[in-house]
Amino acid sequence: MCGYCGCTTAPATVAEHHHHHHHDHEVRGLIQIEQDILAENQRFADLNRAFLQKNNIKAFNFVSSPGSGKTTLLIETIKMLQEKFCINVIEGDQQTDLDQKRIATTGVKALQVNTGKSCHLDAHRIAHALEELSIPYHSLLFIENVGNLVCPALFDLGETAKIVILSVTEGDDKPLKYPYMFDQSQLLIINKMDLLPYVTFDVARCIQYAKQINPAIEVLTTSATTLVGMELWQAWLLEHV
Amino acid sequence: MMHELNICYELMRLVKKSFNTAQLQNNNLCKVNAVWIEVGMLAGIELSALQFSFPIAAKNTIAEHADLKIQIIAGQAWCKICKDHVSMQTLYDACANCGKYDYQVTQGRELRLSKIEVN
Repeated sequence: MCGYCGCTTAPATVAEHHHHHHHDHEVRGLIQIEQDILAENQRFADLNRAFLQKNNIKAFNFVSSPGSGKTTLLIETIKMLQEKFCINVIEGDQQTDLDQKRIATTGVKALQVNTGKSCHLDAHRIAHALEELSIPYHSLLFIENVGNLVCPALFDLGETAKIVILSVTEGDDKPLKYPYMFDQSQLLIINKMDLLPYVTFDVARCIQYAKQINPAIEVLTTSATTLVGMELWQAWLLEHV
Repeated sequence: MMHELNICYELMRLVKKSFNTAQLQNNNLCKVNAVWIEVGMLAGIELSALQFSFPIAAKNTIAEHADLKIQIIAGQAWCKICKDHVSMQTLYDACANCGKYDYQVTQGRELRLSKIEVN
């Protein structure tokens, strides 16, 4: 049971099956459970989602490999939108508050969550972060997940949408190599487009691979440093808030 | 690998809770002999990594030395073009009939604790 909020999982039912051996009267029980292993995370995710929807808070879960430019993109996004919207940020990293400090330079409220050995944010941690942040009605929440293209795909946080960021320095085949992440994401942002002349990255092929995994995925291209593509990114956000 | 180890820790948390509840009804129970799980082929789980991780997560618990029994669930999708169910081995397969990618996965993403054997 969580000492913070008293949450527990549903009780199991016991079905006993007796084996009678002439030399062994050991009673063995078979306990039917039938529960998703990640049900606990889903329970919190559902609670988070209900809370966010009730308060008209649009929450975006930014996922990517380490070094894709998530934090820089978020900083530029905040600068674009902070006049129009109240923005809160949850920063996820194994260690340090470096990202939280960078985000805080924009003036918005940012909460750092350190996951320690864990390689992804989970819905339980987000639930506590939501309590700590006191996010107002009709606002934006940006969640920057731990840099990892594998595990965050399996952990619903209760967000409005997952946005996967892939930079052109990472290779155009990543949607095929990490299909679960691209399958779960509503939007793919191909970032660091200013470096395209210096790398072997086929944008059209990357988009084709992403749509193979997820035909409904939307795609934008940006450079968070030269600000190319940021107007279209802003338009996408305004459409979804 | 880190991923499957995390999954096993979560699995052990569920196993412990279920065992503790069962112990309330029968306080002769003292250990878990087997843990039965269902893993879909499209769940993104590496089975050998799971088998490797389970004893690590189960160490010093009531399921130490328990067998991990894995039932594999086949991948399946509804192809919107063929208007039929088709088998899927991976999330990036094309439909085996029409070669297109316009389908909805209907089975194979399971990651469930099905039952535990105790005594």
